[in-house]
Amino acid sequence: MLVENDYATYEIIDGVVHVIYKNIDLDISRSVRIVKDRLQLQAGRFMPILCDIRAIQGIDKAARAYLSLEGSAFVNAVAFVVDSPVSEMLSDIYLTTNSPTIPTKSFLNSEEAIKFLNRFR
Amino acid sequence: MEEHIEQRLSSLRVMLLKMLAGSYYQRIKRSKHNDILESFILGFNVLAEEFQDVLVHQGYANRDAAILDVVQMSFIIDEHGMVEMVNKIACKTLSRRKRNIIDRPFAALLTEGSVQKWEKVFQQSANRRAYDTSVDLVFKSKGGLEIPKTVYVSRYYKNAQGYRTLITVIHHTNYQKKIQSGISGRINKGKLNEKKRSVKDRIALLKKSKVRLSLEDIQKIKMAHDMILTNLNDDFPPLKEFALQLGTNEFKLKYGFKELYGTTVHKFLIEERLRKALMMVLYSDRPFKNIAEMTGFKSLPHFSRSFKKTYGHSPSEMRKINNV
Repeated sequence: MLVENDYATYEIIDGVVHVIYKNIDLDISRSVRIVKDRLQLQAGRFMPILCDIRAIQGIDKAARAYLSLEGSAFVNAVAFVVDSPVSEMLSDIYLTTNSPTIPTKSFLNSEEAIKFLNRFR
Repeated sequence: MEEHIEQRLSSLRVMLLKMLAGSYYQRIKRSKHNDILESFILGFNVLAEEFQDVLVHQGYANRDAAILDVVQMSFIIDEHGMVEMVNKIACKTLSRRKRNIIDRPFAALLTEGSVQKWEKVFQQSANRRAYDTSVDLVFKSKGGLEIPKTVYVSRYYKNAQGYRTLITVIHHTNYQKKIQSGISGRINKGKLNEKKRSVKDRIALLKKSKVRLSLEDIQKIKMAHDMILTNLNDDFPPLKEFALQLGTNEFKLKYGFKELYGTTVHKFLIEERLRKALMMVLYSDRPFKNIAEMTGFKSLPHFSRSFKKTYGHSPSEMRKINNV
């Protein structure tokens, strides 16, 4: 089932939640909405998450803090899919400043990301 | 050199100089480009945000006199959205002359994305008599930099015919509580004490109230912070034992943690456990006993009590409210 809001699309494929972010700047209120919609889709089940952040413009501190704690609810592991210098920097900033509490890694393509996530299903 | 590169490099330069001069509230305007330069701009913006926060925590929030700088910008807007009054610091912050702000649209001070947000709030408030809200807006400063702020909007009636909108921008919203709790006493006290105490005395006082922490100590305390976060569901060892695990002592851990994070180890642990628990309460139908266990609480009553104390509702009330 494909779910969509103003900031992202969500789909569960083979037990992995695929979250594709749109071309947005992440702030706290958007992050709250993003997490809420994902959790509603998961209905209380723990799952690995693939986050395609290639289109994201930026993220502020409050959003990072929210995503690293509240945002990791019902998550086994996270794989970021990045491509450009911008999205790579975004993921580096998140990984260095927020030390996520669950296994989190970034990849240059979805296949590698899925391979990593499959270990946590 | 291509024009967009030159433009962005010059913004970086302005930003760097601003940061060297000790001001961290500006941000570089982001472009649609997707190159190394843009990734540096992103990094710079995040760095400025980090510095801004660190300075509040280490400096402003702990100093007596600086609390007076809390309100950074005030505006009064008329019914047509024009600026009727602006304070001096706002002009300075936005690097604009007063006459270039007065009698012009408030929206002209905002970035494109924020104009829409502002108009929505402004129109919404027009339908009601008394109105109070807050909204995140991004101001444009003259040097081409951006200033993101939480803006407090209050509508009031000046006379029978018309209303005005008061806009207040607080400098450091993250430490709101800390600032609020100390604000009334501190403003007066701070002013008085300023005169009485010599600089030497004040430095001595500052030293006395703070623990001396080496870089290594700070590293260990940060490690403690991260360890708590990654082990929220485990039994927490006594502080003394935890300090030993980290290779420091109880005194440094206790006071150093407070110094760095503005809260005690125990309070931090409970707060973070509750944040995690809240998500499970809201977005699953797991039994509360199970949630209590998963978030490191020893018993269901202990969990429920702490939860209610923090969020004002018991876990079951909270779940009900969310499901309505």
